[in-house]
Amino acid sequence: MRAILECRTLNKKYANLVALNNVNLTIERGKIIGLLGPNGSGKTTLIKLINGLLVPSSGEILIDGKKPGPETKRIVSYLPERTYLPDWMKVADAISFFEDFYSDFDKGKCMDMLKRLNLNPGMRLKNLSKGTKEKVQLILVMSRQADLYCLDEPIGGVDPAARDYILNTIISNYNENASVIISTHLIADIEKVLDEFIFIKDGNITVHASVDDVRSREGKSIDTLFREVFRC
Amino acid sequence: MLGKLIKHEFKATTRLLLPIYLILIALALICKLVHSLDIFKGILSLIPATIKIVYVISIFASLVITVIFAVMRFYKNLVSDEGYLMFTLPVKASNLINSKLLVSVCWLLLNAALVFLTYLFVFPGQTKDIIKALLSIVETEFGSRSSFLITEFAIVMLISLVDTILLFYVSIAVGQLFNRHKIAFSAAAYIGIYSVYQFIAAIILLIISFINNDLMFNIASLSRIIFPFFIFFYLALAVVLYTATNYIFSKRLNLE
Amino acid sequence: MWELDSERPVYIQLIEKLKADIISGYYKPGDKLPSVRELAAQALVNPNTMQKALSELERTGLIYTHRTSGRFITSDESIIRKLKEEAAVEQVREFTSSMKQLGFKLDQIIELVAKLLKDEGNQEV
Repeated sequence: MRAILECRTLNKKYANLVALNNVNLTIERGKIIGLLGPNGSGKTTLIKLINGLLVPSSGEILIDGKKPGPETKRIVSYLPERTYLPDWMKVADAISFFEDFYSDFDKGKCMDMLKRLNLNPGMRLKNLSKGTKEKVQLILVMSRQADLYCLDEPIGGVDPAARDYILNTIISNYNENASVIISTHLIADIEKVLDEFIFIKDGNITVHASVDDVRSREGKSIDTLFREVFRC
Repeated sequence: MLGKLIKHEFKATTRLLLPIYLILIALALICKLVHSLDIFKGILSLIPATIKIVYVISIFASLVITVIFAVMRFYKNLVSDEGYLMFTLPVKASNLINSKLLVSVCWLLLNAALVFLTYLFVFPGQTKDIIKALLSIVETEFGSRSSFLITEFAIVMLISLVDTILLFYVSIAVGQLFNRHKIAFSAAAYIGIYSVYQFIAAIILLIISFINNDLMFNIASLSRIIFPFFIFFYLALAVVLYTATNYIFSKRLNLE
Repeated sequence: MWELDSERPVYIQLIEKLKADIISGYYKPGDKLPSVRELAAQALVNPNTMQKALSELERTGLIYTHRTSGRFITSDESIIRKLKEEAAVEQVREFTSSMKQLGFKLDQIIELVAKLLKDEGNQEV
């Protein structure tokens, strides 16, 4: 089956900085991949490029063999780090919005997850705490049956119990046809959930390997390896 | 998809604009009521006068608010955090722009209609007199071309309205191309483009006046030459501004 | 429940835990196992990794897959007995090795174990 993501000599430069430098990357379907790196390493830039929110300076980025556009947006489900839902909406409004624009949105699943986390669709987003808003966004994103999920810091601002629930959701949602890219700096918490991981530093991909391979070869956790590689 | 975007656009904008228009209508009603009661004598006659002023101010205010709101809405929904939601929808950039443009123009037309209707309601006599006077001037000057002229005038107004909105849109689009000083670049784009097209329009009119010597003194040429010119010019401008906006958002998106 | 340390490969630890569950009787012979996804969600691990662990257990005969109905623990008691024996041997080896490191000789170890177990048996009466 065709790889879900392919980057070929992908470059993104700004006037005074190189955000991504000659990135070559292939991500197969059916994998949960960690995109790991310090702040400013290019993680978010790469994710924005995947989602068509930025255009490359040079090189190619292909999702399911196609350039980013309405076709690819149909099969990519994106959870940004920020709150991107309009404040005036109620949770129910956001649900009907997703239902309208995404044919792969599973409303039943969404309502289920909301109930499990004690979230009422009648609530206005304006009145919710940041953590709760993030949970709502995550539920909306995971209720889609997409081919590629891009989760930017999904467990950053939540308590440990919610964190476990989120990881549980990602795992339960798994199917061999789809892949999940998790960009985070909380490595220890998600290591066990990853098939593979990518280290990115100053816009360069330095490592792309399987978690278990590294553990058996080096006898270390990815978290430990990260601290060594990115020592300040 | 465009239909869904339009539906959503109305959903998002109605909650803010409808109250403004309802206030306008309410003020019109109050104004009419106060004036027809005719019980304010002496110093109290300040009250109906004040209310009339408030109503007239609210007319201008509503128009200004509608335009400002259309521009702010475009900015907030496409270029700030909400842009992450809108630009990851499986829709073309042109659809996003079209939905906002159409809905903004709708609101402006509604606003204009409300202004006219409430004014007619509050000051029926005055309005009818003004219209009669205008029509007669137009009749005497232009004869059979009078209705044509009014239509041309309306079209020119409408297209220049669309241009106003599009100019803001393209300025916002230009601003987001840059990583710093976005607002400065937006303002520069706005002023720059505005100056350029005013300049071009002036030059063309000057050329036309040299060709047709007594243009400026012949009011009939208004209908035959000047309005058609402006219709064509403003239409061309709209196409240029729209194309630029669409190009930037389709091929040069730089969401922060 | 699923306590996994971070330095060793995940799939190896999953195999160990599943074996322990079979030995302890949490999974009885012939029991049906939850789906890969359910197990992975319980353990909060990657489904592919869980799949790898289950495949390994299948290879050694502890688990078999029925074409349509899923995965089951083997009903073959001898295999399970063998597993228990292997686990027991491993425990004894580790224990005696630690005791030897503490300086005990073999006959001292046996004496100590017999005494402690007898005392415990007396207390229970």
